[in-house]
Amino acid sequence: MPLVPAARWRKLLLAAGLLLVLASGLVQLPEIGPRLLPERFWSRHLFEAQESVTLAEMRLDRVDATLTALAGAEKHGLPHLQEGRRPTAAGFAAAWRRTQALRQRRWEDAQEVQEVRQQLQSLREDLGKR
Amino acid sequence: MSLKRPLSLPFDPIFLAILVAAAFLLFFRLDHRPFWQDEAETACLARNVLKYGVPKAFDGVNLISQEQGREFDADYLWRWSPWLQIYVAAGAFQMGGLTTTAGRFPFALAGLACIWLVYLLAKRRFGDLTWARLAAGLLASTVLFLLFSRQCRYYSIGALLALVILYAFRGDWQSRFGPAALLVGSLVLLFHTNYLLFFSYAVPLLVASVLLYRRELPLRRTLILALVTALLVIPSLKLYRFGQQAGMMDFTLVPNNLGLYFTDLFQFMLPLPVAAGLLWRWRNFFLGRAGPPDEPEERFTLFLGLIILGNIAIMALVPQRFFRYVFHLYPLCALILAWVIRQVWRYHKFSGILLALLLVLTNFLHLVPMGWLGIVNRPDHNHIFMLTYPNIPLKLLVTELGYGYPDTNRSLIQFFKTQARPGETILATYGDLPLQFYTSYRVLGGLQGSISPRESPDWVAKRRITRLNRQGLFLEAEEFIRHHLRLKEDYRQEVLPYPDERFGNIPEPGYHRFLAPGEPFPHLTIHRQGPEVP
Repeated sequence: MPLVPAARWRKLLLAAGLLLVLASGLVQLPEIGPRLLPERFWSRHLFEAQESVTLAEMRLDRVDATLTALAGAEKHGLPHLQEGRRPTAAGFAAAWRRTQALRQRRWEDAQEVQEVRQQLQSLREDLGKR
Repeated sequence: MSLKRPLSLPFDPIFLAILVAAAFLLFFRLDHRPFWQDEAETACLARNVLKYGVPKAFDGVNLISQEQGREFDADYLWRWSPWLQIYVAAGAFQMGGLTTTAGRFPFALAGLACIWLVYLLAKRRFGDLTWARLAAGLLASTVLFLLFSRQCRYYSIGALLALVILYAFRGDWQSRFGPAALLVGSLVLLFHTNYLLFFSYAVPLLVASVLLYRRELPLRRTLILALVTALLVIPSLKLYRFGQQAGMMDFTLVPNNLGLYFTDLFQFMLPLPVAAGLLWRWRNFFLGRAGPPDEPEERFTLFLGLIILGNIAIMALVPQRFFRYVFHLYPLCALILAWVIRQVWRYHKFSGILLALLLVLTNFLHLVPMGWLGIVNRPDHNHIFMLTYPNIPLKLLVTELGYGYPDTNRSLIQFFKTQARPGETILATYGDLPLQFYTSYRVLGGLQGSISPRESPDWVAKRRITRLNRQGLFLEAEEFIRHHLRLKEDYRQEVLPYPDERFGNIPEPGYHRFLAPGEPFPHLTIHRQGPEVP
């Protein structure tokens, strides 16, 4: 016979799991995390924010690359496609306009993400001064 | 000890306390932020109902459109979305005047009615007071439920009708006229609230009832009710041009939509550990190795779970994915979670209390395990004081209501009310509808569609975020500014000290901010026609 019955283990596991979620949530709270584990809290959030900035900039770069490719195709002609249907001039123009519109959005997204990162940074400095 | 109590009290003091607290959270400072674009669409159409008797998209000065004019024909009769919410708002304006509070009041009332009905459903239909109190308490403390219910939009009415349908379904509709009429009536009203909700709710409801309550479905009566519902709904399909919108479906988006809807469900409605636990408990039923649970409460909980699953599966077919399309499932989730808490309490009291605390006071159980699994879905620009991060949601809501918020739309409305003159024209690249509702000026732009090249707006509010149309191109308002206006030469720029946020008082969890952003934030920028003042 086991020292602790299986049913009791299950209850303990359930309570421990819930307590773990509670403790993990508490240290992630913006009201508690910066006081309890300031380095861990800010490094995690600022790292996440920086990752988002990098991702947004990569998306912007990708659109820029598409625009460059479209500009090249316009200048030197479209690559010869063996079987595929050749894009019409109108189709090409629409792709150009869509990519330009997308570029604007990507640029704004990157700006917005960068601002949130800066807001977090200044929040960190504010809390540090108090 | 049995948790079922005798139902002899004339009133339930605990439920009364829950209802009072919920009423405070639903009605306190209903006008603390003005309508945002979607709410203003409903409000402007409701104002036109008071004028013309029907929702017209044009009042002789301003055009209401967010789909480049697809919502109406030459007669400007609104045919894009169902009319119930518009008439509800119109009735409220008729009684309370054209104010933000009046516009939001009936919807907040519907939110309160949801809490009452959740309680009534568990108490009357199952005689389970503990379940009833827990479900009502959970729903009343769900901040996203409160936020959506505080909107001048169909959301809370959809949730209320979803509950009425369940209440009628668990009534004696098989033999009595009242519950049967209630069932059909609420289904038809759900259609007129939002037909997407109707189809995504009615179909899984039928399938789940066949799976779990087959013996309670008399074929003849079920068919008659289905036929009556269909007869009452079908004529309106043409009115709302359903066929035209069904043509906008894109099946390639379904897998992505499914993934995102489920992530939203776990992050904001039914935590993943709870869903996984339920799936494990009912594994034999899902694998076809056993029938449905015998206990009525558990069977009904499974029934609710199946409806939620079916609802998401159908909603994933719709290309435009918004959290609001599953909002009406909140009361169902409250009932499921309340049942789970009660089961856990029966099993292990300490864990039951802990679970209840986690669910009522925090969003930890929704977000923390998702974070561990690395499947958190939130927009990149989210801030730590939003519901997409571990927080105490009620604290965030009370802070917002107590301290106010520098709402983008309010800043614009106040600016134009003090600076513009009667008869002037404003071009806004977004937020045109709140300006139409709250000011008397002519407002162009937004997502209204093409603008005549002859237009020469006195004011331009070029919002920071550029919106693209369904084809991925710049909206006409943006194109108009680029090609027909010389902002630098003919206009002078004013930078306001207020933030230019994407939406304003949008309740969607990925966009709703409770605390004002600190600097640096993008400032609202207005262009006024006329030369630069030296």
